[in-house]
Amino acid sequence: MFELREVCKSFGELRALHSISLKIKPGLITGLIGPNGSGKTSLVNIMSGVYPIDSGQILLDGKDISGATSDQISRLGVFRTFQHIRIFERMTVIENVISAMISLEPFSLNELLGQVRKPDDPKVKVAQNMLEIMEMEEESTLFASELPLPKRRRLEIARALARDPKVILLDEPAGGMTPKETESLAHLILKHVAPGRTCLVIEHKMDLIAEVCEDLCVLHHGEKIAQGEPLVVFNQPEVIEAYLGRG
Amino acid sequence: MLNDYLLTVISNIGMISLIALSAYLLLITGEISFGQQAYFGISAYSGAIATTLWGWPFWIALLFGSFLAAIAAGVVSALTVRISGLYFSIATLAFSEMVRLSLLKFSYQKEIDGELVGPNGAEGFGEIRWIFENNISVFQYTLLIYLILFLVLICLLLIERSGLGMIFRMLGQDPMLTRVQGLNTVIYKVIAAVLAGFIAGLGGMLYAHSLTFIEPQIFNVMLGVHSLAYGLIGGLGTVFGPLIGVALDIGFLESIRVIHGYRMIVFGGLVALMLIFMPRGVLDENRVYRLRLALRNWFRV
Repeated sequence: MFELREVCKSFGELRALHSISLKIKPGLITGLIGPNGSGKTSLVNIMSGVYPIDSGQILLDGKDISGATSDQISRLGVFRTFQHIRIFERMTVIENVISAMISLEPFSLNELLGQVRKPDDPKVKVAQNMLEIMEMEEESTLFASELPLPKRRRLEIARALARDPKVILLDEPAGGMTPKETESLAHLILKHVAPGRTCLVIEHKMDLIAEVCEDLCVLHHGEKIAQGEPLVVFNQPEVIEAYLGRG
Repeated sequence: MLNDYLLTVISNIGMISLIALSAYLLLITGEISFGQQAYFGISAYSGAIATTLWGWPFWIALLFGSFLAAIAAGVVSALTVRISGLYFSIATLAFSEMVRLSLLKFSYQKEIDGELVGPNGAEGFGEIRWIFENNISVFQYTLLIYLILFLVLICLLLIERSGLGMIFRMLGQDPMLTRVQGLNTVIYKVIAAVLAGFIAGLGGMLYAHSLTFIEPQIFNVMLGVHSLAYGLIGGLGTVFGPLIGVALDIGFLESIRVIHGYRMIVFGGLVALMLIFMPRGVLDENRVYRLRLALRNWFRV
């Protein structure tokens, strides 16, 4: 289980996260919403170790991982995607998926110096599998820079899944997608990403949130203002006020 | 047929290819080093001291010089691991100038057969006579250079296909994303630098014994700039890219007498044009991949 205890993070004068306490329920899909600038991406960045926190505690399965770097957190089984898509553009699609599996045994010479692109390599098999799940097997030999945006987002998810992580953090997985593409993504998340995992999904598209999330957390000005069942949370006055202003 | 001039050009291509490969290795990890000539120089001096003053066997001296270069590269890399981009370039340039200026002050001479031999500051280091003492012809030495270049190429090709090679390319594209894939980027940056230092060192030691006379001025920043340009012209998609760059510059521009005086103008213009139209060289990653696919299909048919 992922747990944050009174976590604070500031960038200079800007208070991005203020004393956030949050439990992400294991095995469920938790949604994270909030108006622009409310601290959603900062939260994912501190959970994945990209930024260090100023104070508070981050716990993974009861173990304090507050000072861990992003590579250590990944090796503990937490993988993420990015709102501003990050893929290795000068590598092929399948190499992008393999890239997540190289550190399985960090300092084994065998692992480092063995060939990574042999067709019968278990990593290649896993990568092909992941691309199939994301319905991208036809693109596997393309250069990643040739992919259109929705496929890039799916590639990020395939890459995160390749390590079979315990926790997966999706930062706006449907950003820039059409309603139809969003719909099929929601289906993929429910069928292939969520089972057996703890998921955190940041999204602006409420229909996606309503469809996939079992728990919902709302951020506003760097503070948590609500958490609970999505339909209940949607109707809370604080949440309506954060989004629409006071009536 | 193979006269000595031609052989000198060919052996120069081989030795300079090694420093070009060293700069290339850092380029693919995303760092522009203006300091590879320092490792070339460190190994040239220490290797030549080992054979002429201490009477060490050639191979041991070659490894000794290259290891010293690799250690220096590792130390510089460990110190600069937190900086990147322009700052990394400036730091490597500063280090290489430190080495060159120290060599200008470095004097270590011994009397051998009634003559003072050894590096003597700005006067340089002459009488590196290993080739003559062992009756090795220019042709044989050229073969030796290409044997070592061949071994280095094999190693680099194997690395290219390995997980380590993939990590180098990942680092060159997005260090933060590489970290998020669970890789400790610091270690791999240092590994790349050490390997690059070692390869530059091999070239430097061979260079000293080929020229028989070295001076600090040889290892100035222009050597480093050239070794970067070779990769950028030839391409960063394969280890053969920098070799194409070297062959073009030394084999063509420097050797053809007609354009001899204009070499730097042509070369500089070429670099500028390449950076505009093919920023990652002729054989960039995309073209290399397409070429590989085409070759594979061709062999299947």
